[in-house]
Order: sequence, then C-alpha cells, then structure tokens
Amino acid sequence: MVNINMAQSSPRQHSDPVDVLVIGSGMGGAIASRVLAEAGLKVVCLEQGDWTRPEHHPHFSPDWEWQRLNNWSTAPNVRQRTDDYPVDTLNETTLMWCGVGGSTTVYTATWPRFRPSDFRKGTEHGCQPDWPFTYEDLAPWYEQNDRNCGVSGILGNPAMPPRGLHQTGPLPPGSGRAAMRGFEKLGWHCWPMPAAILSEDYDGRLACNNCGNCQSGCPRGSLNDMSISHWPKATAAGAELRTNARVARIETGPAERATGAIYVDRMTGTWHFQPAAIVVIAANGVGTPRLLLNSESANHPHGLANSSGMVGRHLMHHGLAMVEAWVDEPLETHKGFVSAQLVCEEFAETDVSRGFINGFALHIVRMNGAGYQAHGSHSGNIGPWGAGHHAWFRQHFDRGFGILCVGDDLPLAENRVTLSATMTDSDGLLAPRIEYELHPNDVQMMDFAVDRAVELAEASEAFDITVNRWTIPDQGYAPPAWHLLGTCRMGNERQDSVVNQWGQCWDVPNLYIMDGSVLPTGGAVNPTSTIGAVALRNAQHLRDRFAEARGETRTI
Amino acid sequence: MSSTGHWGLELARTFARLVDVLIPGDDDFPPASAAGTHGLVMDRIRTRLGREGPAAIATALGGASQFLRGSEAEQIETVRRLEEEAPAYFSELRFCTYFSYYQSPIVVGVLQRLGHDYNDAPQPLGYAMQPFDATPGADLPRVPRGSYKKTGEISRIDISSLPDLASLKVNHGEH
Repeated sequence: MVNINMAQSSPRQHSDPVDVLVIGSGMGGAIASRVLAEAGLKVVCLEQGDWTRPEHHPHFSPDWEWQRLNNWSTAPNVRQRTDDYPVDTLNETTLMWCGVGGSTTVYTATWPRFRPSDFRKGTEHGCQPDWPFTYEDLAPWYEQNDRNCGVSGILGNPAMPPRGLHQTGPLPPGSGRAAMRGFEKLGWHCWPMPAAILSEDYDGRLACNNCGNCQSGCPRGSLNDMSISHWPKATAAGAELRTNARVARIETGPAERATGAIYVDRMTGTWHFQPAAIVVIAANGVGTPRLLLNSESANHPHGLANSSGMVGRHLMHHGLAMVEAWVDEPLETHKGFVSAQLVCEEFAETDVSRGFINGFALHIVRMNGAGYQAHGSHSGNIGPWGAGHHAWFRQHFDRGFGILCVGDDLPLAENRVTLSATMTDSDGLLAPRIEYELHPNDVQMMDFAVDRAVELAEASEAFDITVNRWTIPDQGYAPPAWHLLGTCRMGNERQDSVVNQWGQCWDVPNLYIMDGSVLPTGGAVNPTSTIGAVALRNAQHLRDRFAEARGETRTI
Repeated sequence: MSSTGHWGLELARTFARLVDVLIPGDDDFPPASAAGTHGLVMDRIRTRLGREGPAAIATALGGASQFLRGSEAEQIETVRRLEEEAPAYFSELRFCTYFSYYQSPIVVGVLQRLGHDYNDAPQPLGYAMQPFDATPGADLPRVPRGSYKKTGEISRIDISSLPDLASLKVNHGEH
C-alpha cells in the first residue's frame, strides 16, 4: 500500500489556497505554470526534485562519459538519486528525470512533429483511436511552442505539411553526411531533423557550441531545458515553484472535485496540504498514472479518474532498434547535436503490403566520446580486448553513425503502469510497475525497419554494420524506454478515455492532465514537441475559461 | 590497508596487470596501467559491485597470486576463461577499464596527436560548428523527396490480410 497512513495521518500544515496547483515542472507543468501565472492566476507548482545548476552537469569533467552512464544516467533505476523514484520493471530502462525541468534535463531535444495521419489512426485502420482533434487544429500551438522553446531547422521538407519559420537555422548534419550518400543512392526521403537546440543566440540563450554531450543536459542553455526556457518567465509572472515537494496523493471533496494535494517537503520531512481550485498533473506518462492510482479512496477504489479503467493502460514507448555503420572517412561523430541529424520518413505511412500497419522513421544519430565508442556505442560493437584493441579503435573511432529505427507502437491495454507490490520511493510511496511488450504487428514492423536500416548502411558504403534490437535472452524486448505515452489517453467518450480533448478528467472536472500520458497515439518520432503543443493548447483553454472552470462540477 | 588484505598491494598489482591484458600498449597508445587506469577501475568496481568486488574478480581469476605468477600468455588465457565462465564479472571489468582508459589525459593526448579534434571534456570549449550548407547535394538532398497523407486524404484501408490485428479493432472507435 501507499504510505497512506503517513500521508493521511501525519500532522499537516495547510497552505493558503491557490487558483491552480501544478504537479510536476517538466514540459507540461512548466507550460501550464507559465501560461496561467501570466494570466494573473495564483499558481503553485510542486516538484519532487531540485534545480540543476550549470555546474552540476558533467560536461566540464574528464569523466563525463562515465557520469553519463552512472550518476547522470537517464534512467532513475541506474542513477538512484533520492529525488528519483524507482521503477519496478524487469525488462526496460525507463528514462525520466525528477527535478525542475523534468525529463527535458536529460533528453535529446529532437523536435519533429507528428504527421496528420498520426491523429487519424481510428479512421485509417481502427486499431488505434482518432485524436479528438486534427494536425491542423494543433498546428498553431506547434508554432507557438516552438517560439517559446527555440527550434533550429530548415523549411521545405516534402514529407511533412508546410510549417512556419524555425527560430534559428539548421544545425549541420556532421556525420549525417555519410548517411546522406546512402539516402541519395536509394532514392529515399531524408531531411535535417528539427531540434530544440539553438544554432544562434536566441531569447537570451547562447547558441550550441557543438560539444556533443546533449543527453546529460546542457549547461549553456542552448538546448531547450524547461528550467531555463520557461521557469524564469513563469516565476517572473508570479508562479511559485516549490522544489523537493513530493506529492503523495490528490484529495477529493464534494461533487467529485479535487480539493488539493498532500505532499511531503523532502528537506524537512513535514507533510503539507495544498488546497487549490484547479489541479493540473504533469508528472509524465509513468508518474501521472502512478499518482492517480496512489490517490485511491473509498469513492475511487481503483484510483482517481479511473472509472473507465483506462488509467495506466495503453502505454507506448515506440518500437526501437539501432543499426550502426562505420565508414572509411572520418565523421567526427563525437561532436555536435547527439541525436538525429537527419530523419527519413520514407516508411512513415501505413502500407499493408509490408505486412503491418503504421510506420517508422529512421533517425541518423551520433556516437558520443571515445570511451562510449570503444565500448560498442549504441549497438554493442565493442572493441576487442587484447592485442587487436588499438587497431580496431583506429579503424572505428569517429567513423561511425547510428540509424535509429523508431516505430509507431500500438497502444495495447495490457501494456500498462500499475503500482508495485514491493517497491517504494524514499518516502514510502508505492513505485510504479511497468509491463510492456510489442504487439506482433510491431515486431514485424521493427524487423522490416532493421532491414531497411541495414540497406541504408550498405548504401552508405559501411565496412562494418551492427544491429541492436534491444532484446535480452529469456526476457524479450527490453527497450531503453525514452518515451512515456498514452497512459491517461484523451478521447471523445468517457468510457474509453481518461480526459477529454482539453485534458480535463472525465471523472473529476477540476483535475487536468497536461503531459505525454494524454496522447492517444505515439507517432514514429520523438514526442516532446507534440506534448508541449498539446499542453500549451490546453493551458490556454483553461486560462480563457478559468472563471467557469474553477467551479465546474461536470466535464465540458 | 594491509599488503595482504582485500585492498593490498597484490590486488593492486593484479588489477594493473589485468587492465594491461585488456588494453596493452602499442607505438602510439600506452598500456592501460601506464595511463593510471587500474586505480580508477578498482574504485569503480567497488562502487558498482560493493567493497568486495575487486577481490571477488581476483578470486574468479583463480586468485591474485596465481594470476600474477603466470606468464603473459597464461594471463591472457586466464582472462579469456573469465570471459567465458564469469561473463558478468568480465563485462564489469571491461566496462570500467574502457571508460577509465579513454578518459585518461594521457590517452586524450594520444588522440590529439593522432589528429583528432578531441577535448578531454565537452565544455567549456566545445568545438567549432561548420556552417550548414544548403546547396542541394551537400547538407540537403539533391532532389527533395517524400510525401505525407493530408488529413482529408485519410480513409479506411483494408487490413483483412493482417490477422494479428483482429482483436484490436474492437477496442478503438474511429472519430
């Protein structure tokens, strides 16, 4: 059980009521806090972690690669900081960061958009739901969110709808030039990948200096970390950000409305109740269902906002595989934007003649530093030990690139977040339990994707090619679960979704969700720009009808 | 620390020899121990496997004394056996050795002398960024290709040839 006794029976300090309580300070929480505070509303955001200062990042230390895989791992189960909570999983490496800015502290800031068909899978084949709105409906918020975050890129991609200007010019593809050769030979689509990393100074932030360690955050602020791009503006507008404030449960009162949240101040160990007219949860696709399930009560025996039974279900991580290729010419693959320099959307739309529905994208990625490259990069091509080590290293170092296959995985009810029976965080709150497997359709899609990536590597004249399907003997698919989507999906009907199109919970009309858990489908690309656009749309909608929303007893 | 205990000199000598078996030197690169790798490796193994971790690996090798007494060829063979018979220990040893070696300022210096523009840490210097070349065929495709389905063009497709999907269709209504 959740440490419900502690949360409910400990002496609590009651804070003054606020208009909006936001839980989580990452992509969605930062946007909601900023939008609502700029409208003059009294906003408090509770964040279980702390600030990350520039000097906390490992970029200035010679052991930066070691730190990246240990205390700066993207996985809480590896780094095991007290800010984190453990994830009960046998077979995946879940990415998240508990701290100001959330997982934008350790992501790659790869910034593609979903395609129009990603919003219409119900219409296309019926194995995934339609979104309550279309790509065109969301497009203005994609644009606005890009301006707020700062995005580099270049117009003219024929594989996506026309879009507005990027804030800065494209980042150079670097090692992607070798893959470009293969794309040209095969006649496949490719285009420079948009990134929320600045190629020029913008909005008071410095341009990227090509250092090559994006996934340990960015101490320069060139990469869009919400603690840098949004929180200074949110707090200037009056939002109060309380760090080290871990929420245990959301309380409800009359008319099934949320009354606020119980949280523990991790610095003092004192328990508090923060009352609010509106509660917004933005704790990511694992943390949000965990909190709702941990908020069970007599009136909500299966967890809060869960009359549909959908809370925690339909988890999507994307199907992932990595093919790496080494070519003869030096590519300086340790430099620059570590994630996708190029994206190939040749296979992004459904074509049933391939034997599966949905599609995938190929992302051309870099390989980090010398230690990482010697130890197999992303695909386990580890340099031999002994007499042949240095010859192998000379042949491979800085001559490789990765082809990351990202597939649109089906949202299965069995892929879900529940509560662990055995694990708790450092405050005794039940940890999330994750169960996730690929559907046979998606296995077939990833096999096809790997074959195409190998074809690309060969067309790029690679002398060595390695495939990583992220499988473990006897455990099956064991993904580096970078994307946490779908576990509180939005929809048009309360019986098959958790929130409506505005992120408002069907069961609790003053409770909103603004993170990746509301996405009904996951597309075949990184989701953060879409999570941000949806959060911005819904935060502005809440702002514009706040007087009505604060007293609402029925979901609109 | 005693010279015979878990953190004794014999264990230190064992790890100095072990990392050299994994990464010997050549005309450019130093052997791992000359780059100071073994101290970091022992410390990192202790952090990851616990205080007894280095001694446990030495035991898995057949004991520090016996390993040190062996010829170079015998030491290589012992490490090969470790790789086969205790793969978890071997993987840990190799993981710690490779990352410790390539962070050494001596090894970074070799990379620089070999012509690589490689800093010992990503910041504060970073690297010069080449400008994006928008010439077709340079950083953009020679002929832009690709397409997408517009929202209004999306219609029902026939998936009856894909039997694995039959059960899913029940669960999701269309718009």
